[in-house]
Amino acid sequence: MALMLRPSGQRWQNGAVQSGPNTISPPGVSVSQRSDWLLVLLALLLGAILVLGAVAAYYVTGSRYVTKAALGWDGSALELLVGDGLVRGDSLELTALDERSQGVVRIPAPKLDTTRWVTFAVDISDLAARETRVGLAWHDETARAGERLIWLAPMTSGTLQVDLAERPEWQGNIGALFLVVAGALPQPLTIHRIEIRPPIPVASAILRQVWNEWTTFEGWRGHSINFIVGGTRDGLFPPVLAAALWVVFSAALYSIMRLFGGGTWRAVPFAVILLAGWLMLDARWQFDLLRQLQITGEQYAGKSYEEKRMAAEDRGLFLFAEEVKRRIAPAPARIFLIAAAPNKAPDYYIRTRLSYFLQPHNVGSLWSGLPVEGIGPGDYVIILHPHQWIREDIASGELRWREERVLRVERLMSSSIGNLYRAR
Amino acid sequence: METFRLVAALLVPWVLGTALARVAWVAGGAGFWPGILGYGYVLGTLVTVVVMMGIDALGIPQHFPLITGILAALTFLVLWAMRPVPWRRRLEPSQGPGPMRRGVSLGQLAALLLLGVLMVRFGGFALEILWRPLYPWDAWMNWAPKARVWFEHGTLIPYVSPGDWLSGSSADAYTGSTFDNWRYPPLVPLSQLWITLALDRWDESLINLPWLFAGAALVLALYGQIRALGASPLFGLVFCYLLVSMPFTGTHIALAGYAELWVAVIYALAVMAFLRWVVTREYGQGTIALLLIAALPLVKQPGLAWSLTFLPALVVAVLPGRWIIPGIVALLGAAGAVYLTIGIEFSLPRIGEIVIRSNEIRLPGYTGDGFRFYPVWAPFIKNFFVLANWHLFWFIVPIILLLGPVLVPSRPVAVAWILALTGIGFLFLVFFFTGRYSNEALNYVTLNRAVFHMVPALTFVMAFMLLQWFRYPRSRDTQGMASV
Repeated sequence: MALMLRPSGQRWQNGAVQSGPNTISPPGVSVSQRSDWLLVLLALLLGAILVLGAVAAYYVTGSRYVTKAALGWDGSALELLVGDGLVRGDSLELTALDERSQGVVRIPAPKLDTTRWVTFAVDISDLAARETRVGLAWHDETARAGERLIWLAPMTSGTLQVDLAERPEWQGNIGALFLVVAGALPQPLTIHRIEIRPPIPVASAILRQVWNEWTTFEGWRGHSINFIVGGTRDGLFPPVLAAALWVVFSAALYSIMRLFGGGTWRAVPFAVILLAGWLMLDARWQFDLLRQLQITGEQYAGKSYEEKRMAAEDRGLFLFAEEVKRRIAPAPARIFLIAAAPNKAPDYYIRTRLSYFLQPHNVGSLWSGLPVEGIGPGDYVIILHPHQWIREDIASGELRWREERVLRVERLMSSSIGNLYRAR
Repeated sequence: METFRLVAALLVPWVLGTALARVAWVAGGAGFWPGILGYGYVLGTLVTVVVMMGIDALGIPQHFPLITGILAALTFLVLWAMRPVPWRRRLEPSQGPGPMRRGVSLGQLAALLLLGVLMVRFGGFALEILWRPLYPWDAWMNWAPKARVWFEHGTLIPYVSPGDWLSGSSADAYTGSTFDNWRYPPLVPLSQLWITLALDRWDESLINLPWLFAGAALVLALYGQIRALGASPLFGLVFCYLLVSMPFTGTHIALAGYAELWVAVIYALAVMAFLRWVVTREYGQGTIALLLIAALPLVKQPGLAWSLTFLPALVVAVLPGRWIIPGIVALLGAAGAVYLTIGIEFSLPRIGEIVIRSNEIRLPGYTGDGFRFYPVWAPFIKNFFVLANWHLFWFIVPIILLLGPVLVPSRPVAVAWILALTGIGFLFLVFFFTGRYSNEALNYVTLNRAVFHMVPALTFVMAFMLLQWFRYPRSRDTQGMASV
């Protein structure tokens, strides 16, 4: 392959390469080059096996997979449903039980498949083991009488853990999960952290999960213009790291084979190994692009501007802006677009998006109050909902901002997004 | 008629720019046509933007036939002035194409495959642009609104600060939706306005066609410059593929509307022309580099800083060998002394106030207390080596930058190295020594976009260093493909 370097010195015979007295290779390819490609292929294959094996071994041994895949919540993220308590730092402190000597904390877990989650652990302190019991309760969506409860082993402080796989009641799909405290509470009980952990999988399951994460479709998101994730965020093994390791391992293996096998050292095989890693990542990216192109085509292809706007996620804002434009003067008008928190979400998005949709009208949207000194008769004002400091006095036809500023207006339009006024 | 006007809007500036770029290329040399076509589109766009600003300064409305007529007249003038310059180099008998090879070599096959991949990739970008309305946030917040307003009014209505807008001091003036975007430079909205004038209507999809063409121009220019430095077509195509295949590059072409691609394209074309001038001392390449460097502030406010990154490399390029290190030390020392003592303070039209002192930094869009160190390594490590933004690019860059000057201690490599380090150093200063941008590094909003400004240039620098390293002679492939 004529890439960059001078070909290694060999004698040429009618376009073919004679590398020995009785050996003729096809024109343009020497025996040395052919064995190079075989070594490169072998190195890439072995390198891939090494990388995948290393990933599987990394997660199968020890508790790394469990630690990474576990669902966990600090005490401060839990919701106290029954009993009294308060949040201290990252923990939840249960200070009193209800009149039935119970306390219930909701764990904000998603719906759980019991086959995938087998260990429950709660890290607590100051538990009066003789007077107080702690249990795990849940609602099984697959059973008619779906409420279940298991009590955890008594302990004063530290991590209470139960192996759910050994409990026959732990089955089906779990819709809601709770921590139950019962008995007496002679002193406040502090809940630091709760975790639900999967079992340690076999190597094939690890590799299957890695493959699923790598092939997860990302598509265009709001953040795509700033960064591309590439598969699942915080997955087991990012594809970029995998490709880099594959290149390093393959290059090392090729070097070892070349070292022991002899022959000419060339840069091209290393370039090919590097390109192989790059192509692997790019193949994944190209598949994503093609899937996204299909979605874009289904959503927008062949549509007019208005139809495209109606197909977009923010069509509500577009419709509001079109309605505003219908109700105001056709010539570019001054519009004051007022949001309560103009530089914080979600007002920041709404006002800047509306500013764009209201073009070519002359929109100013950087104020949270009423800049009455700049609003003249005939100017328009849009107050976005909710706005707790601007109120409308319908009787007098005025807008008031914290009782300090008053603007006489005529209301033109009212909607869930905001109200349109014309200054008088 | 609309299609005809749209095609004219895309082609007329391109023809003008190509005629201008022809000055800088030896006719018939390797990479000639891709090079002048790539540079031609960008130069043509710049001239179009300058013409639009010029007629606005004269109080003349923006009128598509008028501007097209001016561009056509300029094209005629340039072609007439350049008529003695041949378009094709007459080959000597010994320079003939040589005997025809039977069959296709492995290298040619690989080159065709890469070309096919590039075409598929750009085909996808084109469909995304044609189908999808204006999508990314800053595109509809910062840039496109001006194009829309200017089209509706027929002139480049001034934009003023929110305070001035509120006071109504300028009756027809508009303001931005942020405290700063009202004064952003005009190239991006003018390139969209140009398309809108051609269509005579607002079209959120077609206004993004310049991004598709800018991306294609970048690839053509990259290929042309690499070939002109003596590489094979396959080598050139490999680097074009590496650049386009990076997800972040493709995203900024497909999700068009941001200024980042334009900064990246213009900066890369400037770097390529500059380094080619360093090697060959061709006045044409040097002139084009200067023009493009001067154009950077027209695109985005950081463009001025990117222009200044050429200074240390220029010092290395022009000073005698024994003066290089003292020159660099003097430059850095002077900058440091000024920063620590009297500081720098001046204003620039259209850009704003520049203040750099040890206790105060005021730049367009940024105000801070001076440079302090913020160790924001984690977001860079994540975005460069874990997330999918750049494939394996940032694994390769440090290796080549570390090995390049060691293995090839030559002036051209030293210049390229200094240029790369200055760009990287500028980004390091911004993200690691300013409070605002260290915060923005943490939320990933600005990090990759700022880095993207120099990635195409860095791609060429790597190709440049490899070429210098291997001292590549013309291959047998180039003899049969001298016109590519």
